[in-house]
Amino acid sequence: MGEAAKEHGVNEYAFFVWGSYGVAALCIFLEIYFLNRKNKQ
Amino acid sequence: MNSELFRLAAPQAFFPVAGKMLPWFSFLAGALALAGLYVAFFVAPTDATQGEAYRIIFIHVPAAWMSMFIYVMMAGWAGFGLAMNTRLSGMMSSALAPTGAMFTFIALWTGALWGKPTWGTYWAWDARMTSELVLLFLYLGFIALKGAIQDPARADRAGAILALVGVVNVPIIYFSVQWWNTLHQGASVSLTRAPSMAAVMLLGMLLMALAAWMYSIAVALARLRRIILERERDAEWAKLQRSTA
Amino acid sequence: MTGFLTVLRRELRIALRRKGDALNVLVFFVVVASLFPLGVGPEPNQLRAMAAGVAWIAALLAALLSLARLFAADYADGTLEQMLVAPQPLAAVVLAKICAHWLLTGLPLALVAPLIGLQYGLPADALCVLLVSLLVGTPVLSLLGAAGAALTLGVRGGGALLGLLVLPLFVPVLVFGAGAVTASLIGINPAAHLSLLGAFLAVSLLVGPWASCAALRVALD
Repeated sequence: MGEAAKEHGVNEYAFFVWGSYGVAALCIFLEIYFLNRKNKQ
Repeated sequence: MNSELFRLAAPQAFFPVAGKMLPWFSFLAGALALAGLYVAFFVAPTDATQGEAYRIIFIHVPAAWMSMFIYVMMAGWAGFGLAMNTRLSGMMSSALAPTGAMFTFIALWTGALWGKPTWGTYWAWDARMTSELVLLFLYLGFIALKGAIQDPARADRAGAILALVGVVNVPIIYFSVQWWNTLHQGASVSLTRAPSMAAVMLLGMLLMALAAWMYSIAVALARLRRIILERERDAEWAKLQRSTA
Repeated sequence: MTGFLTVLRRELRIALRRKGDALNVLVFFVVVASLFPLGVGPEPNQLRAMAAGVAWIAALLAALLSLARLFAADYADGTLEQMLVAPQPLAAVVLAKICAHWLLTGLPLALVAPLIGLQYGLPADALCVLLVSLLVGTPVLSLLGAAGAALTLGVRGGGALLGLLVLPLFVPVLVFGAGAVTASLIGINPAAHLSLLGAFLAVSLLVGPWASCAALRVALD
């Protein structure tokens, strides 16, 4: 496990971490957005 | 108490109750998520072997839990509706399905982004990941079947049968993929070595899991209200509700 | 029991009158399996390793094609409604239709599969395992597939939807069926795979007809 971790710099971790949380936040945002939009009809 | 429950099983009676519960669950979801994210990013220390990337598990593990819980809950509501012929149960299972599919997708996505820096690969045909993928297909099938049938009562009952068959199959699928994986051992990565978990990590994960629960309940209630209004659109009370909203 | 036999005989007689239907499924199976080497190249070791998977995937697709028609004709002309109100239990009718479906698609498919295996250079014992795994596994496709066919009865976009519903449920069959052949190729006794496949067949025997009956009742409500 350790060797794989050493291959990546700090910035790459930022890519993975923000890639995860960003997409999760986007999914939640989209779900709530579509829920509210359909509610108004 | 019992008669109160029966009264609430009517969509018309549950609609305002769901509306009253909605802000509470939304608030709890937001507060717990903020606390969980604070622990995940500011309190939990950098992991010695995995560096910062391990912070992904604070979203990955709760999402994976939720994806499975929601499927079981969905099947439970669907089966209850099939057995007791209550309309609200079918609507409940419809309201849960998209959220479950979303959590399944998040679990897969974050799992891939966690796997790359930790094990050096985005995707491995590991039992857990493959079952999660099949679970996503099961959700999509459920949503597609319900969407393809016009008559809501028929859609509910057909969806319920599918969900029940699916819930019997999920453990079998998991077991079969695990079995398959041991046969092809050379090709896959061993994903069984879980990092030892510190108490603070457990706390962060617990907070995020609770937030995911509250979020699911809030979104399911909101979607349930929408479904009730759609299905009862010809009823007098629903027309009134829409004109005031 | 008499209801079961009557329906089974009727199904087979109809199929005999329309030989093309069952034959097309078989030809489809052979064509799909024969196209794979053209896509991945003729390397013998690679082909041998993927033979079981290809045969099984082709079998799943062929089953899927034929399943779409399982209840459709009887649904369209009202026969299914008559079967629902007839005195014999619906489960007997459904089981007979499932049985007929297997006899007309699963069984011929399993019997042809060793030929496909030969094309892929499988040794004799692996060919036997492939035959046995298909004989045990294809009834599952008919059983669970019948439930899917009943659920999508009269639904728009039925064909693609049927695939989305039942293919994920076929995962264990694919794993144990193809796994048995792979195991025998690398010198492991395939008995464990085949017994697990049998166990899954037993589960499907419980789940499939129940779900099909319930779904038919919903569809004809």
